[in-house]
Amino acid sequence: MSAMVRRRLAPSLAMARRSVRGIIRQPQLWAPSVVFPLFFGAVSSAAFDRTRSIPGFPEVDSFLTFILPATIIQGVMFGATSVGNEMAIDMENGFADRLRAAPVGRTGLLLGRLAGVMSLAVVQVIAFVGIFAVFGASVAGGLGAIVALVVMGSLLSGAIGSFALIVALRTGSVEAVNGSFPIFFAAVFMSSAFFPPELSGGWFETVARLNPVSWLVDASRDLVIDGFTVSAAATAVGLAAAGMAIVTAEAVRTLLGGGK
Amino acid sequence: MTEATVTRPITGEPTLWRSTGAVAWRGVLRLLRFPAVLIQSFFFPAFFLIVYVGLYRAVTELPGFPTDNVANWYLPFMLLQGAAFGGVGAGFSTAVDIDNGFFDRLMLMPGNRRSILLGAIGSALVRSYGVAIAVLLLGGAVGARPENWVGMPLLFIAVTSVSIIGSCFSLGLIYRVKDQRIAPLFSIGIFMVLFVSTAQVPLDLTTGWLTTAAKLNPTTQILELSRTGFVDPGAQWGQIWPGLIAAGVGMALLGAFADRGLRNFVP
Repeated sequence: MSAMVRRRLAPSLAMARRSVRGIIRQPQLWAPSVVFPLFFGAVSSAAFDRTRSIPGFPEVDSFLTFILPATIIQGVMFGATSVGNEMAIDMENGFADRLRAAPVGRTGLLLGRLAGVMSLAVVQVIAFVGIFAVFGASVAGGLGAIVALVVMGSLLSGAIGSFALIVALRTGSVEAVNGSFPIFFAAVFMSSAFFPPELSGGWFETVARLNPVSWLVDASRDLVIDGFTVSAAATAVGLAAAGMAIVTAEAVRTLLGGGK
Repeated sequence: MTEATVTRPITGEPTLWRSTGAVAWRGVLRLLRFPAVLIQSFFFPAFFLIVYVGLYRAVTELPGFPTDNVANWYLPFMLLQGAAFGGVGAGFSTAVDIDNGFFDRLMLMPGNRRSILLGAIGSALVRSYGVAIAVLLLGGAVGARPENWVGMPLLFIAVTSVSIIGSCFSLGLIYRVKDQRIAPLFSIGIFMVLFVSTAQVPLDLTTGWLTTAAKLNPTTQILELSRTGFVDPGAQWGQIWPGLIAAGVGMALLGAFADRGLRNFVP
């Protein structure tokens, strides 16, 4: 790496290190995004395991396996909003103004901020797969599928984190960032995450089919239940990457536009 | 403006009930001035009701499911959830009062201090009934239909008891911890206790650890009480009395927890 490239990347890397350290030092920011999905996964699995006998339910060895992709996506989405909180806090206490005044590229600083939640997502996915495996869930796609899930989770975290950054940049308010939580909550629950929509039928099936979260869940579920295929891996990773590219571009545009 | 319209002097002794009424009325006024607080309590039960009725429609096909109307199964659960969130609102309000110093002034109030607790519970009940009525109307809109009307007073009893239990739980905690940062624990605690029960499916259809946990969790009995009017076989004494006992014992224990917390409260 040339000295010039290193110099250009240095502020982004410093911001990334700060972001990762912030996540490690403040477990209260991410603990709910690990505990709540695990709790909900455990309860749903024990409550709905017998629904596997309903005609039309996908062939799967346990409901825990069925719900693993939902837990991953739910946890990653909830955890990623913490980057917006950090940004809003920095705006409230004036640190963001000092960064703006610094002679460094703003885009790199924004991407550096996302590094913390994207790293958290990697740990979350590995932890969810490991904990579920202890209780009997399996990933049919093996290591390839787990790697695809990790990459998908990290990119999805980047997309959701960018959305939280947009809210923070436009409002400068921690409450507004927290207020965006119900959007993700609704998006996860109104998808195929917790039950096959073809069994739900009616309006719910229509909504779930149109919900992009369902597309992500279905591709991830294919990797977990049916095994590794390039198309399933590419769909899961590709959707998350496209989501991150679009939302992060908008976050950068908001930042360069001056934000609040 | 005349002086009479500015202040309304309280005459007579500050009895327990008079003070309780004043504290409760203050909570109700706060609710009227900040209706967003009510929306927060309403959001989760309303959202879960709509989603569950759409999402888990097929669970009624399981053999042994006590109703073929999924809205009938989930409505009582969501009503209790709304009542519980309404109840913990008392803890949230008290946390704010402690933080801004108003609670210290309340503690200096002449008369029985227990009125602070009872007043908070009273305003939480108003909030819970408001949420419950809204969720009940929503339930009707998504297809819930009572099987019998005997269950309606029992549902009212269940809502009332869960609201009181929720408010005493949150008040007991905040009287001891005296820090707003404990507030998220109110909702998390309520959420966990409600879900580790027969909230989602009947006991016979649960599996593994949940079966044992739901049997031990008194919420299961209160849920059965609340569902009396919505599922088969309907109002049967064998279903009703365990719920009444669980509600009574829950209110007594959590009431004592909150009362003790208030008595030991040192500003």
